[in-house]
Amino acid sequence: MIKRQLRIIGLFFIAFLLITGMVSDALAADDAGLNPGDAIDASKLNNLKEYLSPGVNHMVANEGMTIPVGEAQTFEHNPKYKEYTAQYSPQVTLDQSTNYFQGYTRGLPFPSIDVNDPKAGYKIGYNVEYRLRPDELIYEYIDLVYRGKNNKIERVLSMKVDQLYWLGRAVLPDIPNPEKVRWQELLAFSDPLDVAGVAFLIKRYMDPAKIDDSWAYIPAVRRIRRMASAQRSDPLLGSDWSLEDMYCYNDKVEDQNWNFVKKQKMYIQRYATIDEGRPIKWGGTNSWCVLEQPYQLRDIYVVEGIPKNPRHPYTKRVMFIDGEWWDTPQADCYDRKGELWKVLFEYTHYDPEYKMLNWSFANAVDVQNSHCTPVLYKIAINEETEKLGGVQPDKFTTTTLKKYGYGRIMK
Amino acid sequence: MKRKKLFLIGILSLFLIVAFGSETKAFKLACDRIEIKGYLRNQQVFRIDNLQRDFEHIQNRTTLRLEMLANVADRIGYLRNVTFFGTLEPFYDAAFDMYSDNKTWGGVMFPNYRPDKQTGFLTRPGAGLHHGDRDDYSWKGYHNTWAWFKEYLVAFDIGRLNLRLGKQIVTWGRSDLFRLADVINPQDFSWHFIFEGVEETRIPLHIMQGIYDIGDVGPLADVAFEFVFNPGDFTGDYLGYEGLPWNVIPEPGMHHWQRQNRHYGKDNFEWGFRFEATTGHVNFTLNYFNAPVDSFVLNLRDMFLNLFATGVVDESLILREYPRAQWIGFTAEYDESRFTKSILRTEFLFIKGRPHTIDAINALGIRDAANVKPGDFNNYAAEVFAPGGNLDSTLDRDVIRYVIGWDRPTWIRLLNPMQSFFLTAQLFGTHILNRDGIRIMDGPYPVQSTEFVASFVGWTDYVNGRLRPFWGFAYDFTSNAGLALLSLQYIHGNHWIYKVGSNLIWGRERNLVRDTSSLGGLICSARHNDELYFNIQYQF
Repeated sequence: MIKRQLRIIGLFFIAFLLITGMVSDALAADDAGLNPGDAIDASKLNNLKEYLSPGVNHMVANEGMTIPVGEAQTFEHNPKYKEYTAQYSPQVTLDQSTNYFQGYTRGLPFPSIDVNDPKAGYKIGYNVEYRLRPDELIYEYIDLVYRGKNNKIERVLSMKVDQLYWLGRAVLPDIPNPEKVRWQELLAFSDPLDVAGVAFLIKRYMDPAKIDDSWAYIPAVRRIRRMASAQRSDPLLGSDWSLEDMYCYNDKVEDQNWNFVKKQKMYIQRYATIDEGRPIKWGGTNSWCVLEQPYQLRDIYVVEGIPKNPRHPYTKRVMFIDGEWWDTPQADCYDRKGELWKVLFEYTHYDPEYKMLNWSFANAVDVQNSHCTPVLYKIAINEETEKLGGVQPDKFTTTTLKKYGYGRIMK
Repeated sequence: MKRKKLFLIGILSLFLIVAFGSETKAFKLACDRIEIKGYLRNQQVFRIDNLQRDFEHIQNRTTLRLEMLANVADRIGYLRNVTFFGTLEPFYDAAFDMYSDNKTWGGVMFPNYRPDKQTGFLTRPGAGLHHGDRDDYSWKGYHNTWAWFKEYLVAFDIGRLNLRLGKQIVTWGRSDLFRLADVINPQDFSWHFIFEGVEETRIPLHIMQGIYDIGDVGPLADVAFEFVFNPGDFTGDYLGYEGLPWNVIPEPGMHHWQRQNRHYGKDNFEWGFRFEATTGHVNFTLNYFNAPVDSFVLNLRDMFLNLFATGVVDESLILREYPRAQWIGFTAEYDESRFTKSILRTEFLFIKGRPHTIDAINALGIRDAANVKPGDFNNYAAEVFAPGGNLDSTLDRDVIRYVIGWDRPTWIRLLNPMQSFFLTAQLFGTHILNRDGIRIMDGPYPVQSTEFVASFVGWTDYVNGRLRPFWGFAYDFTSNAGLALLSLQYIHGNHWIYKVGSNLIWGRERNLVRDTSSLGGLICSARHNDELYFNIQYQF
């Protein structure tokens, strides 16, 4: 009798374990039915196609990319920026004829997006541009790695970048800004010798109608040339990136039309986990794919950016924008024939000190010409820049450009 | 010779350590405070003289360039960011040693002086290179080994003032191919005429340069004030002399004056300043520069006095001088992104009192400079100098020069679907004010009152920036002479650069001393001397 009772209890126990296990599995699985630790590869693509961008679909199907599914995570946002958003966002409006924003002071311009709003694309565009990001940053070095087929490293170009946000600062004190400059950037190549000394100075204005001012220092002639804005869409020294492609989109909001496509759950790379002890691992057919960086199923705004310049190399740039941080982890760029040309990836990590995203690395894959350019860097943000000499506002001048160029700056 | 060899071995050893001592990047020392970069380059040049139907190997030049950048200190007293920058650039042109001592080249303006193929001597006895000259040109640099130390300077900041002191190059202006406001450093045309980029041909001088960043002032942004002061380090443009492949001196016997050493003197000091600012999408500069000219004038006074007294032309009495002039200029660049999506740039220069030589050869109506006889000079003197009786062979004339330029990145998808073509076109103009009908020369070139030169340059990149076709065309409307620079460059990895190119020059007629112009003279004096070159570079 006791034996029988024990057997029944045992069966119940086993059944309980099975049921709870299944339930917990079911509870842990995300909307796509995957659990943390699962991986998406070509064999699962048919079922999960809609959860991935076309670019990532291409990478999985043709480049042997495997996507590790990570646990969904949320982190606290910078409280000051949240406060600014609450305080100032009600003042921000969108001009119905020009689609230019007005009344911006700081914080996120449009914290709530109505997907039925015909202007939702433009509002998302301004959110992307004015999202929370470091006020000052120094890329101690950036290596552009030119990678061909079969993991062939063709060239490595090194540069240094200083960037200063003048307007909408969230962490550091304000600085006088009579010109209403949004940000300024100094890029200077240091290696190899044939590009050493090539340097760019870019000034972005808040005024939607005012185009960027850009200059380039050319060591071969030892002089500064003013750059036409169209040059921003050219490959940066032959890489798969253009100046405009940085951060998946780095041109003015007003330079393209923003068509909101949809809001959907998508797997997107989030919260990169690399440091000196955990370097980036590359894999896939040609070693163009990043391994072991977790993807999460997140709310993504899909927006098409249609360049206003009819001669722009892209017909459209489809951006996959994270609805929580308003950054663009992925973008697909289409050529003049409307075919997929480049897939851009920006990897970021959470910075607990400033409670914001910080950049980890990036990759641009040219799917038509079988080439990619990973961008690897070391970055210091906000007060961290002090130990590197700081980002002084008076540094962003053509004189500095000459200084950088003349001495072919040190890497 | 032994010391030279030891020095060379030392330099080569340094190159080997630096080039192969580090993985791919620049070589670093002293806790990364010193960085050395550079290259070893060989260039082979073959001349194709389309009149002589000849093919000559005129250059086999190997250049080692070492650049050193040292972060001396972040702060020394009031000085911040103290850095030292230096370049060492020894070279050896084996073409001078590959052929017999008698072998020489005709020179672009003296095709008839081509050496006899049987004897190897020039048709004009005494001209050409001699053994000592060959040694100079193959080994020592232009005039001495110190020229190998191309640049060395200390740079530092004091507040908003950035100072650079040392042997250096300072560039002003906004033009390509030809220089207008960019007159602070002279140029070396002796080794490859105008076919090297300005970076290769500018001659560094000892200069103090200061740039004071003022910042924003009213409607002006990025306001800066720059000054330069040269305490007296002077040399004129280097021109090839007789016997060298790129001889552009029209008068016979002028090779004596080309063997100049750079000299220092308080009379040679040069100074200037520049005001720079941005307003709207225009950035502009206002320039002033006061210095001796880099292209010489000839003082014939002593020669003529001697001629009248003795009836003998003594070339050693012809003095080459570099009188002072003033350059007052304005430059601007405008970003026209709304309609043409291009950059418009201009440079306007008023040269106050630019010295010119009265054109003796043209005054005589003699086309072949080799046939000038003493009697001709007598007649010339009587014709030109007798009325005033002062025998002054130079004239100061005010000159206006300008360039209008247009830069545009342009997509030509049929030819390159991946990257735009960078296209740039320029129109240069020169007007000599108050010329009074007198035929005069700018340096070695007879000039006209009004001259125009147009240029069109372009390039694009293929294979992820590793393959670059380049073309440049320039046309001088005065002499009807044109220039085409065509090249193809391939970059292999981080270290190797290969380049093949051709420089083609054509003109209406082979007139050696007429139909030239101040800017276009650089083109037409070399007409019919096309060349093909190969260049290989290892950089580190």
